[in-house]
Amino acid sequence: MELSAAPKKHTWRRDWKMNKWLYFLAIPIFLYFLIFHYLPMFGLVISFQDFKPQRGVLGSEWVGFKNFADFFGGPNFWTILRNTLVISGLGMAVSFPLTIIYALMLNEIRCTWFKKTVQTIHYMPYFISMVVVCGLIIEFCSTNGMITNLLVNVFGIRRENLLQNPDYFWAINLISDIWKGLGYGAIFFVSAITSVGQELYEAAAIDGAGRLRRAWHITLPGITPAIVTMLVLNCGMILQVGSDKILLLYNASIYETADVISTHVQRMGIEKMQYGYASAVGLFNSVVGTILLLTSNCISRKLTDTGVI
Amino acid sequence: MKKLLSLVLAVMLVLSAMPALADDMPADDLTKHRSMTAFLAVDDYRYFGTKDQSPVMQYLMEKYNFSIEFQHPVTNGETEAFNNMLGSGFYTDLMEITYSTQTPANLYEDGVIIDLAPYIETYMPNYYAYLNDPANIKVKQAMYDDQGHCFTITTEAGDGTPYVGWGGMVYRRDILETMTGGNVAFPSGNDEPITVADWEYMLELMKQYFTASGLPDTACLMLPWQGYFPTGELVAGFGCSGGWQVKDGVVSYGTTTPEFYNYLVKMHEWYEKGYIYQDFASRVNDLFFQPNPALVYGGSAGVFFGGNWQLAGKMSIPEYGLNMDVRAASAPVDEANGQTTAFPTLALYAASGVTSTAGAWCVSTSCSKENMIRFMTWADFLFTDEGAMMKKHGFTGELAAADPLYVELGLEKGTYWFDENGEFQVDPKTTDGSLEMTGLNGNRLPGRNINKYEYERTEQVWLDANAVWTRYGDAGDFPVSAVGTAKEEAELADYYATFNDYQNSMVVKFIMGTEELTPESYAAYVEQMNKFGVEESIKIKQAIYDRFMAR
Amino acid sequence: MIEKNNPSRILFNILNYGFMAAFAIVCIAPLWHVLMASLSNPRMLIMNTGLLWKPAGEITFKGYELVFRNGNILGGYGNTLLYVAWHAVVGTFFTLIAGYLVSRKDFKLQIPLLLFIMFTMMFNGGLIPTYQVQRAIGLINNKWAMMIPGMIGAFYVVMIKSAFEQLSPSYEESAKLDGAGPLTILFRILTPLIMPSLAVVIMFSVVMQWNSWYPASVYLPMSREDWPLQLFMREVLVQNNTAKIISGADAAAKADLTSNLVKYCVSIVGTLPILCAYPFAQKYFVKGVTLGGVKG
Repeated sequence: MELSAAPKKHTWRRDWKMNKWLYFLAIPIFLYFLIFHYLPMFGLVISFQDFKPQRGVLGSEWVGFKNFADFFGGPNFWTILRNTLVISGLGMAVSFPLTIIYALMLNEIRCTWFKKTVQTIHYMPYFISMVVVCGLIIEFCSTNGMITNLLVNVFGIRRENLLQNPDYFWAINLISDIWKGLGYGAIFFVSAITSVGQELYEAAAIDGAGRLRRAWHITLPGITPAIVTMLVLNCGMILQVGSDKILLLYNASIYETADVISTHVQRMGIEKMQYGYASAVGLFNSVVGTILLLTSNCISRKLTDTGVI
Repeated sequence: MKKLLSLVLAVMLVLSAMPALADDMPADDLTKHRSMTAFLAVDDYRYFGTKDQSPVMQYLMEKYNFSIEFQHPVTNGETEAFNNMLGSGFYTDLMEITYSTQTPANLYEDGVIIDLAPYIETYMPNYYAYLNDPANIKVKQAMYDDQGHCFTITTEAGDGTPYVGWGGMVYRRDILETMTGGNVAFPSGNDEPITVADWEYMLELMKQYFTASGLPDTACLMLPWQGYFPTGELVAGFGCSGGWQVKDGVVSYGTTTPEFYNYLVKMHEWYEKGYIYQDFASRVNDLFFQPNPALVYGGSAGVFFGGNWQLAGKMSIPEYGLNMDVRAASAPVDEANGQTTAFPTLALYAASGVTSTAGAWCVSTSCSKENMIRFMTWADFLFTDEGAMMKKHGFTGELAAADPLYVELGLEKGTYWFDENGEFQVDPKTTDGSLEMTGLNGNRLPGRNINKYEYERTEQVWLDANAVWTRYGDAGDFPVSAVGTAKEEAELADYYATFNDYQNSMVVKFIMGTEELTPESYAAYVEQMNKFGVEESIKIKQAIYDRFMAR
Repeated sequence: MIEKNNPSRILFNILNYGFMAAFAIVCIAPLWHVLMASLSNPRMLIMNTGLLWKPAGEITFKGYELVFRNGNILGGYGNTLLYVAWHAVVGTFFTLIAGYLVSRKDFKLQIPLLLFIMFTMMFNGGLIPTYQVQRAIGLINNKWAMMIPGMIGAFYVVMIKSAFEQLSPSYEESAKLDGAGPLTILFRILTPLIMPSLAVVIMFSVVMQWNSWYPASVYLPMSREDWPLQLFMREVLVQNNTAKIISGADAAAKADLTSNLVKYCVSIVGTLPILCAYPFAQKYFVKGVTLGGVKG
């Protein structure tokens, strides 16, 4: 892929000459990230402070690693770390492949109006407000709710409030996530599939390849870069399970499976109003996320020869 | 020579000190226009976007020749907005500090706000008189700290009128009447549930009623998601409060007391019997005082936390066959365990005349002295009778007729007036909900509240219910005004976050039976709570309490 | 393409169409519930449990009246449209350039710039320092505070980058042989080729801007005239809810009944327009793009 225009050593001077206009284009991009992302990063030092807004970053008391110690030494640290990993792991192991399979299945539908209609409908749940969705889930999973009735009658489980039993939370969270995000999440892959060259399909069809084989041998390899990109980025976000949905769904009786890092910080934050603590946990998430992102990128480079970086 | 020199020096000293004294307390020159800025959370956007457009504020600005540019934080983002303001260092001249996460003392130490104590007597004679009226000793205690600083001017100053609480436990009397054919016979012999035995009698009747009714989802007793009311409604009957409490001068934490064990045992028993709403723990996002409104309003709940707007037949809808008779109930006294009366604890919502520094205005260090004086001058007006009426009830007479908003809303006569007999009258539009009073009066401004006219108009049902809810008084509650130093409060918050979290998960499990409840397991729970900081917190709270009582 | 209809294909089609239709029902039912709830009698609505197929009680528009009584809503729509359009056009333009820069393997700054951008995905300075920076450069309480920050998303840059990398280098080389300048190559030749990915980026950023309220709540506290729709929606929601309950019994009684209704009306008013936008973007995802003038 390397352009062969660099027979000699690719020096900066040479690069400047060759890509002068690229440098000009890079200036606004560089400035944007510098000002809006890198300047505020001095704020990361409050992870090591007992930060008080009115004293500012310079005036607040330095506490060393106390905030980190509070987090790692907290009574529930291992529980919330496990829950976070399980919940985002399930997302990657189940929701993510499902989204791709869904996009492939959608691609197999030839009837255009049907395809357009269902696709439009499938992406709608993404837009229903979280409060409303979670309200309905709580209603349906209550002792006499719709979903509970179904499970009791079909699978014969014990009648109880599903959200008051820690064993069910991961499943409830996963299924509702899939329902809410499948259509929207698939947009990226659906669009990637359209970029796969039609001529490849035609050639395969002439060779007599069935649908499954075409999907496996042409479509999937065609969208591998898109899949890898998403997967690697998701690895970087593994500790950042969003709090808004879980905050609305969970309750004190199922903290042991439902409490994740972000909800924990949120709950502690309401009482403690500790910016330093929240910042320290955020910094921990970022560092772990960066390591995971680089590692997964490395692995994918080795395996598929594609990666983000 | 020496004598002369010292004399001259002394004269010079006195001379130089005199103008300084005069400078210190200059009179307010009302001919000079002042403009200031203020941080204020408001909830009356119906008629205007910023508070300076409110009729009362416009009146004040004209009368005292000043203007205010208000910064209104976004609803639900108040705390963040306040902290952003502190963090950026650009303070407004005036700040309303309800949403501050720091105590006023803390803000003062860090140089955000100033001490108003030296100025109050000079510039706010009416406020000064109010604070020094022996009847208002509680307000004074709340406004001044141990060192005699006064950082705030309150918006919540009452007038001694009894406070009518708006909520407490209620029960559906109609169910009991139906089930007994009109002969309700509580075991204690009273005509209302007083003891645990009374409650069990009541809950059993309700359970039979709901079982026979065939309703899909019912609740004889609605508990909040914590498993107990932190405001003390049920636990009081068992002899403790839902939080910090004082018994004979000794501070303790209600939910780690031996009495709380008795409460848990009883609740577990009731849960097993099907008296308690089985989904209570999952209803986190319902307000604790209105758990699952669908059941309450649909007639499928027997005992729940209700408001006085639901009392008597207010919730009935005859056309749907819903006839509910809702009555107030006091805490069930646990006679079996030797309780003869309930613990004297009252919710924030039923306590009389809450006086803390919540809802108070401060002056920041970026405010000029002239602006501070002008602020104190106009705020003091709201402590006079005239100003206080305006703050509470809005405009009347000429003022109303001259105000464009009042005219537009058809309030030429004002929101209130006194008729020929001297009786207080209000425009019916202000009470039937078609107008929003908070936009028309001086809501959230500093000043005195005249509550007596409102009290005179209170329905008898509300007064009766209030008497039931406040039956045992509030003598056992930790005083709201007893606030510790910044360091103490921070430490307390730190401990609280941890042990409260643990407590929430344990209490619910004890009640549902997923965690076995025995004296041993309860002792283990208490021990863990102490390890998470209850013991340390009690020590701190005790110190704060002792200092407060010594004032 | 002509397909042969053997039994397994027919079975697959039945299953596939069947699943898609069934899932569509599961997806649309809650939305229908929200719409019906927003037209319900508040008293009946509060007593309802489970999904609604028709409005509870007689149809009423009371909830919508309450929502639109907040006179700012039309202005909110206007601001939201402005922010959405700005980010869809200007934001995407810079994202495109950034994505192109970090996809050029012959550019010495490629990897440093990519790392520089991706680092911001993982680390951020937190609320107060960001606020201080924006305050210092004057991006507080004006429309620019919503338009300049958040213009380029690191995530989207990576998406665009991977789209460029998927293109065959032959496009660029042949254009170069035709004597096209670098900017012509980028905008005339390459950009149309990554249109599906670009459409996804635009779609995502439009949706994100449409739903965004948090930055506005932090950076526009004093200029209500610049608020986006969702911030007004939140205000309506919150103010019909808890705030009133503390302030007095009369208001509380009403809040009890209407807050539930308003919640649904706000949902409809806030999302219906964006739901209608998708079918327009859809043509890029369904059809695919075939372009003339491509050699190789």
